[in-house]
Amino acid sequence: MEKPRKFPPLRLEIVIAILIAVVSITVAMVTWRNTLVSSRAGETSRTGILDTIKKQAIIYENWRKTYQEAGYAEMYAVYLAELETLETSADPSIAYQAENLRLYMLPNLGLLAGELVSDPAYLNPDGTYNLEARFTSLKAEDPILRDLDPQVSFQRAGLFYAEQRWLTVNLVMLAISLFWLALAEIGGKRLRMLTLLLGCGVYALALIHLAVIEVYFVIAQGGAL
Amino acid sequence: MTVSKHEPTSAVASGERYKFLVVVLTVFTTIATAVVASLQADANIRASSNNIASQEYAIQTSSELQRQGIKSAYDINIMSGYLKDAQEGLVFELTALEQEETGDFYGAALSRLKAEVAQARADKARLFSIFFSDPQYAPETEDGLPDSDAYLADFLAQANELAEKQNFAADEYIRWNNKADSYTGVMTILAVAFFQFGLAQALSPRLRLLFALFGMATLVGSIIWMMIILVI
Repeated sequence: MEKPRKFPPLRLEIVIAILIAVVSITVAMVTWRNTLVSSRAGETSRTGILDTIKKQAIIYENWRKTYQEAGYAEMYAVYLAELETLETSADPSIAYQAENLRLYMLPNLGLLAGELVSDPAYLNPDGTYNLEARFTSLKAEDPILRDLDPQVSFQRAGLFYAEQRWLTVNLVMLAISLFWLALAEIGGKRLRMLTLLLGCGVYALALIHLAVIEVYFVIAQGGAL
Repeated sequence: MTVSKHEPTSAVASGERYKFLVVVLTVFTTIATAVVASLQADANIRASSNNIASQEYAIQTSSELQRQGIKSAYDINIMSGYLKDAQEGLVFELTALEQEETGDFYGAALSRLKAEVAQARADKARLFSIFFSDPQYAPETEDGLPDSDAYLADFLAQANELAEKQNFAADEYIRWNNKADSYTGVMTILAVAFFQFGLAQALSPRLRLLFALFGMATLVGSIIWMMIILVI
C-alpha cells in the first residue's frame, strides 16, 4: 500500500498559484512605490532648480548693488582727493569751491555709496574698499537667501533616485521569484519542491530587501515618505 | 494492480512536444525583459540627474557671466576715469608752461592747480583700478601698460569652468538618454520574441520548434544588443 503524500500534487499547484498571485500583487505595489518615488525625485529636482534660479537672481542683485555702491564710493574718493588738492590753494575763490564740495557734494556721494563709505569696516588700509566683505554682508542680510539652499533639494532628489534604483533591483528580484514559482507550477514533479523553495526563498529575500530599502530611505529623508 | 496516471509517451510526443521548452523560453524572456527594464530605468535616472546638473550649471554660468559683466563695467569705468584725469593733468601742465612763456602767470597758476587736481584724481583712481593694484595685471614699469590680455583671460575663467561642467553634464545626459532609448529598442525586440513564443505554443509541433528557434534567435539578438549598450 502506498504511503499518503504530504502535499498532493493538485493542492500544491493551488498553493503555488496563490503564491504567484501574492508575488504579482507585491510586484504591483513595488511598481507603484517606484513610480511615486520617481515622481518625488522629479518634484524635488524641480524645487532645486527653482531655488537655484532664485538664489542666483538674489546673488546677482547683491553683486549689482555692491558694484553700484563701489562706483559711487570710488567717485567719492576721487572727489575727496580733488577737494583736498583744492584746499591747498591760497586763492579764496578756489577755497570757497573746495568748501562747497566738502559741504554738499561729498555727503551726497557718500549717501549714494551707502554703507561702503559710511561703515569703516569696509575701508581697506590703502583707502580703497573691501567689496567682497560688502557682498558677504549683503548676502548675510538677505532673509530669502538665508533660507534658500538648492543643494538640500538636490541631495533629497539624489536619495529619491537612489531609492528608485534599489526598488528597480527589488522588482528584478521579484521577477526572478516569479520565474521560479512559474517553473514550479509548470515543471516536472521531481524538481517542483526545489523550484518552489527557490521561488519562496528569493521572494523572502526580496521582502527583506524591500523592508531595508524603505526603512533606510525613510530615515535618510528624515521621515518623509 | 496499480494504474499509471501518466499519459502515454507517444501522445506527449505528438501533441505536447517542445511545449515545455517554449514555456521555459517564455519565462526566460520575461526575466530578460525585467533586466532590460531595470537597465532602462537606471539609464533614465542617470540621464535625469545629469539633466538637472546641466540645468543647474547653466543657471550658474549665466549668473556668473552677468556678475562678470558688472565687474568689468566697474573696472573699465575706473580705468577710463584714470586715463582721462591723467591726460587732463598732462594737458594742463603743458598749458601752464605755455602760459608762463607768454607771461600769463595767473593763468599758469590756475592751469597748474587744475593739473594738480587732475593728477590727484588720477592717483586715487589708479589706487582703485584692478589694472594697477593687482600684480597679475599691473604694468611692470611705471610708464608701461597693464596686461589686458591676462585680464581678459581671467575675466571669463570662472564662467568657462562652469560652462565646461555644464557641457560635460549635458553630454552625459545625452549619452544616458540615448542608452535609455536603445533599451526601449531592445524591449521592442523582446516583445517580438514573446510574440514568436506565443505563436509557437499555438502551432503544430514542427512549426512550434521552428518558431521557438526564431524566438530564441530574437532573444539571443536582443541580449547581445543589450550587452553592447551596456558596454558602450
